Amino acid sequence: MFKIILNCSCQVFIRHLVMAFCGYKLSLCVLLISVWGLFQLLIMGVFFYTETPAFLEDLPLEGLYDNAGKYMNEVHRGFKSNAFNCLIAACLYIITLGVSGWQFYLNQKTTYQV
Amino acid sequence: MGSIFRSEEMSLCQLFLSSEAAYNCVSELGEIGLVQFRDLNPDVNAFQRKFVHEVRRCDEMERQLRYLEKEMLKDNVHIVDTGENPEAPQPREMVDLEATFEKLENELREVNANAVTLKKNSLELTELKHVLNATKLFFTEHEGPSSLRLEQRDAEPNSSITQNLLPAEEGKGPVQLGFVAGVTRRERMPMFERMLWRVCRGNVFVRQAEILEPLEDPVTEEEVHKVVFLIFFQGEKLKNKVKKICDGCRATTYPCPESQQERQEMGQGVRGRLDDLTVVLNQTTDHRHRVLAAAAKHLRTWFIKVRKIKAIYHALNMLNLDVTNKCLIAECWIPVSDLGRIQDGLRKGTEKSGSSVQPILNTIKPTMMPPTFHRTNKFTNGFQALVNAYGVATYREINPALYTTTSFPFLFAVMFGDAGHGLIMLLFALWMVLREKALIASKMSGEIWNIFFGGRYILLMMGFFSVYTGIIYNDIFSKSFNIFGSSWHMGENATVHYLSYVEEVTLNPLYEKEYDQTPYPFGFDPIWQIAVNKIAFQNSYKMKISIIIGVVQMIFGVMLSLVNHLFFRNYVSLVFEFIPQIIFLIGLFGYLCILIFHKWIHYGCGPAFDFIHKAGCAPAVLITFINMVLFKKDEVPVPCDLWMFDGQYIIQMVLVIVCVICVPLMLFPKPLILNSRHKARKAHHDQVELMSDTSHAHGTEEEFELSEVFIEQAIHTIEYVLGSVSHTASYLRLWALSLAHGQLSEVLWNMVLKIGLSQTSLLGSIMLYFLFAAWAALTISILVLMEGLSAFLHTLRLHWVEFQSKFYKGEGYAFTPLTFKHIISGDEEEG
Repeated sequence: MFKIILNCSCQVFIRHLVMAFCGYKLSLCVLLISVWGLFQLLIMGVFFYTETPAFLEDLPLEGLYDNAGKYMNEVHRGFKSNAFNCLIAACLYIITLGVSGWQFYLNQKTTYQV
Repeated sequence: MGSIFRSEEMSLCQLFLSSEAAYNCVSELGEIGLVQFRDLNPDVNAFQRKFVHEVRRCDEMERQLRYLEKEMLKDNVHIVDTGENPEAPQPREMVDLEATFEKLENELREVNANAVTLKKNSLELTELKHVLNATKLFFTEHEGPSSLRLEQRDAEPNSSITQNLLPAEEGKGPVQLGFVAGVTRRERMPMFERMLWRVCRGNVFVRQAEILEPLEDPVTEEEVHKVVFLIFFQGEKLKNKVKKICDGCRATTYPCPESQQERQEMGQGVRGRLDDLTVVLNQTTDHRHRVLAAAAKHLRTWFIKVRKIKAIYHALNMLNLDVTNKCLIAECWIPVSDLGRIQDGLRKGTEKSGSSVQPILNTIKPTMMPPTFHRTNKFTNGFQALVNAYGVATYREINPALYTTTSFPFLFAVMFGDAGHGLIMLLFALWMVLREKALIASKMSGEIWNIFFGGRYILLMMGFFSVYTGIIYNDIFSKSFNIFGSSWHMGENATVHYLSYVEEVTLNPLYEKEYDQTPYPFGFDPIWQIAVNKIAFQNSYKMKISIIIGVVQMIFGVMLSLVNHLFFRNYVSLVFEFIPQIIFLIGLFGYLCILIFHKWIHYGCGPAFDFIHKAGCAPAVLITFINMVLFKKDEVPVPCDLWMFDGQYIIQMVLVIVCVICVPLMLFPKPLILNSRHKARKAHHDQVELMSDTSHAHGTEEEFELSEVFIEQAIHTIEYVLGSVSHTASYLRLWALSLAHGQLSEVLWNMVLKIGLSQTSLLGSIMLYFLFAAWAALTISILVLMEGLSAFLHTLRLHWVEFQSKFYKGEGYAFTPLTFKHIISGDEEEG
């Protein structure tokens, strides 16, 4: 009798691990934004790395520079750092994509069961 | 032959149906869905029509079906939708259906009533159980001390709670305490107590205990909290008062026996009865569920059948009974190209009814305007709905929906031009279109979703065109793409020394080193993204483009009016409306467009252009236009020339004078000609009457008021002349909205996403992660949804007012055939 109770409680505990903590709509929204974020941040990362002039105004630069060489160094550094920032954010979005995709899949399963 | 170019040709037909075949024939016609019946009994009350009893029976059946549906929804029974399309059953089958529905309804009502009674009993027993439990607690509490004292004093084993605690005084009999036990709602308890205290002047003693679990009220099915009370009193009068107060405060009292043993026996009996009741209650709910599940399989089919029967009887009510009372006469509008299909349908109907009399269908001449019928498919349906929202086309008028399929998305895209936002719209519309069937089957509700889904093809086209104009404006989320290599370069001034003291560098297209002398192959050059004068340049371009597009669309609209005039053989309008209109429009605003093109081609910088065509000499087109109309001449600085080409002054003067002449041409001749025509017709009529010597009544007394026709023509003329100026300026909204969209997009990037990009440390990646989500949410909500809606509205206005006012009358009425499509697809329509 005691073993049966233990067994049941274990099953409930494990089922709670794979329970959905987001609803259907929230997981869908996060999923779509993660896909978009992944693509856009990847592309932006690549463009920052190849130093496109279109992104010149998006660099972390101070207002005025005395030395042209220092300015160019800052520009190159800015491009590289932004490229890495974008790629890291893209990786974070891959993780978000995974989590929200898993939640979405779970929510789909439960709606079919009901 | 009809098409989306023009509405279908309709014929008014008279249909003779034998009484036996009428029902089946109308059923077949309803399945085809191309016949509009005219109401031949318009002045007959709804209650006096021939088939009013059948309609009433159908209503009753529908009510029963709705009751069944409600019960099924309450029980969460899944209603199966097989998607089949049952035919309308024969009238004699209606009796079977009625019997089935009535039986089901009665059964369900009986089951429900039984369940309520059982629940009431169960509630009473539960309350009694709680009362017994509570009194047991009270009396055992008192039992202890009282038995002690009694033992001390009298050593009597019989301890009754109602016996007086104090020893009885001599002379007076034993005083008995009575009590009343009952249950009432928790909210009523304080009021009840206070009432008891006041009425019995404090001579009663109340004990209460809460029932911990909420009890279900059998009628309202909500859970209420209740309280057990015990009232102790002395004497008959108090007993009556207490009983009356209990009744008044709607507290239910239960007979509670005094002795412990009796209470225990009662408790056991209550428990047994409660168990039995629960079993019966469960069986009742199971039975109800089974009944509903069995009915749920057929519910959709029944609904469709009943609604079809009702629709057929409504149609039959519009028919007229023949003198011989043997056949029914109908007048209906049928598209000419579908006459064969209708004949087949009628034959099929008569065969099914087993009647030998064939129905007769013959065409008669219509006296009133036929309805307008456009054959549309799922793609053109959306655009036709947009046009019909303004006004249904007059019979056989040119249908603007055909051109709207392209011009609407194009004008939208000119205002929305951003490839990124267009891509979002395109992907959304593509998802809806590719998953069409699944989305229709899932029957999602919600008005906003239905609006989006109904316009999915419009959204798809708008998305496509927006991506295209986004590439032309070279704008993706406010950034530009450099695919082909910019034509502008820094040139010789790109030295550190020069840049260290100059804030802005001006690139002059005159120099080879700074401008390649050949433009960027497709779209705006990406250099404009970082240019300070980007907006000034784009303004000039977009304004001119808007005027050109506007004038082209308006000229096209006037040309369509020519097609209409030719079709309706309205030669008066052709000569005295179309010709002055087109001359006016092309003469003034077409000339404006020619000036724009001339300026673009012939003015520039570089060796190809001589002194008077240098960049600084390009005249402002608008000023030139205004001066043209006012016959003014401006002063220009040397060495520029006032005129763009030879003879410009003479040409402009001639154009203005011709256009001014066009205005009275639009105003006067047509009413005068119509007047003389009317007089000639009247004279002819009078002559014929004189000759025939019989005064037969005129068919239609044609009214003709000269003053009214003049006023109408004056209104049309003023509307056109003033409208051509105001509508041309109105097209500038194409520029205004695209400027606003571009600037909003830029602001959103700079204010939101750039914060994440302007960080030096790796913390920037976390900030970028969150800021991107915020930027994406704002992009969709503000730039795609809000701006999209705004651009949609403006495009709609441009079509409805500026384009359609040139040729569209829109005075028809829609063709509403008897069709079962909406009964099968959705249940939103009511009979």
